Amino acid sequence: MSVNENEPDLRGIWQQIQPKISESLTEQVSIPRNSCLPGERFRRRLIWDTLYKLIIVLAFPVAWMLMDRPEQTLVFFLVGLFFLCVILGIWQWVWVRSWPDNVLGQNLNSQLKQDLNRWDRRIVPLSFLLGATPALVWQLQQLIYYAFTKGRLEPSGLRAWFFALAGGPVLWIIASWVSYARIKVWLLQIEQALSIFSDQEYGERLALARSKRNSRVLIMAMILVLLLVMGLLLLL
Amino acid sequence: MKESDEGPHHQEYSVVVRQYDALIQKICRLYADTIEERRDLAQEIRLQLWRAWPGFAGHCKISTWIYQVALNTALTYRRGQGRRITTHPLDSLVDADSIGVDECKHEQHYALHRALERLEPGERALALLWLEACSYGEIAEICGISVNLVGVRIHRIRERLKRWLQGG
Repeated sequence: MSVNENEPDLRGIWQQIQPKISESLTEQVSIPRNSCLPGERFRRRLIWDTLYKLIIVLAFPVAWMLMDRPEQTLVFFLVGLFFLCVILGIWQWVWVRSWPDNVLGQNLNSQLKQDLNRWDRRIVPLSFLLGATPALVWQLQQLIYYAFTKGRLEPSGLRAWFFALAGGPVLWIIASWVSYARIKVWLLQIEQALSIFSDQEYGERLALARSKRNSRVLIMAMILVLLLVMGLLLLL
Repeated sequence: MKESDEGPHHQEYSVVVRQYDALIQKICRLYADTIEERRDLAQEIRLQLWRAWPGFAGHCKISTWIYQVALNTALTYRRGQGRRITTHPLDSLVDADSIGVDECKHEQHYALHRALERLEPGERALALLWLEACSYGEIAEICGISVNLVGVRIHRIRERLKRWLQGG
């Protein structure tokens, strides 16, 4: 390694200033309790998401009161979805809690590959589980609407079923599609980091995934606004 | 975790963390933008070292293992922050105990930091290891790539850093 006299001595510059040792490090170093790494924050978010799914059991008594009303079939449909979400919530809780803590003791390349494999396996069920929550919230507001409007929406009406299906299974599928794109961007960020160690290019794929994610979020937001506007118009 | 905080395991951990704190601080400076973020990242690295500590069986040098854990944590932390191009104010890179060092050296050090920030996070890890005078073999072990690839990457990174420092 010959050094040209005009060239800066990088190591010399780097080593001439040493950082100060943390004052907070006393005799015994205290151990932080919570991790702020993205995987751990995501895991905590998934546990909160589970609670939203489980809290829906509070809606069952409301649904029970509506059973003798003309919208009975629709209420059955909503209760079916709620029940499914509670089961999924329990599964999500058990599954996410069973994930082992990520220990970062391997070399950078292996660690990135391990992260990539782990999240790649989880992406489909996670998207499906996360997608259920917006649909669940929509169905809850449907139930509240039925409780307060006293059969204003005719039970056999196409409009009622349109809202039940568009805000239920369709919204679930679309929200899962959005969640998939979001997690995919995250996975591609790991792949891009891997490319630095293995000579492959992921930059373009990452840019494409980001634009896909943004357009899917926009589509879902537009559908939600459309449903809300249509609902409000029906109320007028 | 509370029970083991008191044991010999925690004492060993404390010694190691204090011994390698300067290294942790350097990594934090390279991967976190603000003083608060740097403090958070340093805490995160200590947490990850604590978690990984029982798995360290002396299969490599302790410094190699510390680099692995700390850089893995910093790279993961950086992914969570998204890509931001920022420049540190010069004051934030100057420590109280380095006051004796002349202005010119601070300027050079600052310029080198700005150049390092222009590198991708993974490349920055390679640059840091080289600047810390790690051998190519050790860098290869920390990064999990071949020694030849380390040589090629370091050569490219060094050329870019020099060009940027010379105003290119």
